[in-house]
Amino acid sequence: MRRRYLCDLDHHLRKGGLQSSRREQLVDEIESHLSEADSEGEYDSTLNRLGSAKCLAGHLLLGSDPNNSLRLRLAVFVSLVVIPTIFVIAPLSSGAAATIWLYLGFAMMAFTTMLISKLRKVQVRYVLGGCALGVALFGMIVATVFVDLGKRDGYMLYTHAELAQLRASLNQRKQTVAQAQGAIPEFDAGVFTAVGRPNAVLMGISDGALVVRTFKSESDAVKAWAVNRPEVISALASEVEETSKLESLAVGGTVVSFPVRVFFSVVNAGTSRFTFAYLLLPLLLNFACVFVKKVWLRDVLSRAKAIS
Amino acid sequence: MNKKTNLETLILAVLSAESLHGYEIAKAIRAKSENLLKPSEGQLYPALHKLEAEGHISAEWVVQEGKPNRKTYTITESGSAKLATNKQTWEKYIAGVGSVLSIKRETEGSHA
Repeated sequence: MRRRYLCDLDHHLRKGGLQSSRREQLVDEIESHLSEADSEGEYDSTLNRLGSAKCLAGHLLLGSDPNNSLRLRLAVFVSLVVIPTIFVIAPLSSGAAATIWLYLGFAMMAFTTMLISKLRKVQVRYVLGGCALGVALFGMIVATVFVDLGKRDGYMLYTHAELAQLRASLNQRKQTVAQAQGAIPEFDAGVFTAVGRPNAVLMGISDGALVVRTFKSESDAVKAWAVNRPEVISALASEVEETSKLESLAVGGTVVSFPVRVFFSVVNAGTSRFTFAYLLLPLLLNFACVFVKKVWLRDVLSRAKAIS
Repeated sequence: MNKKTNLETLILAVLSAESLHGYEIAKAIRAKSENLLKPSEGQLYPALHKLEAEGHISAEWVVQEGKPNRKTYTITESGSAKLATNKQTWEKYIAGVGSVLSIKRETEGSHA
């Protein structure tokens, strides 16, 4: 039983990344400790005090490296303060600045991964890894729901209030639409400011449903407009005659309440670039590192040993 | 002095009397403190290794017949100096706490 305990201890110390010489020394000392306790008839009480092999290994690992506490504090600070701050700032910035922030965020995540991997207590790694993952997920949701939502190309979800605004806007443009059938520039002006969003917006009808598409730039919208103009003009013109139907029409899927939109936004994040940036890339990098360290490197080393 | 430093001081104090191995150190601390202080092995051995790395104690493996080898620790000169410093700090701390605790209500008499 004592042998088993010591084997378990050795296993957990090795798992914690302790050097073999230090590990052997610690195991030998604990063996001697247990032996002394046995000879004094205190074996059971000593074993109770030591706790499980895993628990003892955790304490020994944590106390065996003087830099552990500093690493732990730094990793917690970077994981819970620096990375979330960067990942909230990144989507709020634009263009090159956003990219730089994102890369800085990745660098910080890599730095934290390195710090965490050097921590001697295995349980702490899991906790911090979970925190880092949670933070990444939180950053993704924040970015997608509150920042990215209004900027993406494609179909969008609208709340009832926004739909009412849209309907009012459509009514206002009724006259412009009628004129637009013969004069494109006037219609463009009406359409592109229809819902007052920063991006160019084009509205049309598809399969009986009102479809609103956003475009990154006005020129993109003009191009799309040029292609679909006849159909959109006729459909939109007939649609504004029957605005009461709008409530039951689908707008990029459906008209929803705000919580439902938030839910769908999170689901939509699955196709967003932020999913890749915040979640998949760090995970893939992590798996790659683990693979290189645990599988590939071990294989290479064992072959080198066999050859020598 | 924090908890970690306290344990190191206790180890140095115990070793200042005689050379001991890990189990005996833990036992001596328990016995001298009348079971008030019970350092866990998870704290004791890292503390011993830290003191050894800092040169405050030296260690030697003693081979035993029919039993596992044991590592015996001895205090060094630098360890004795550290013990003296820590002892002084601790005594000052105790004196300070004692003074605060001995404060009595001086105003009681004047109000009466």
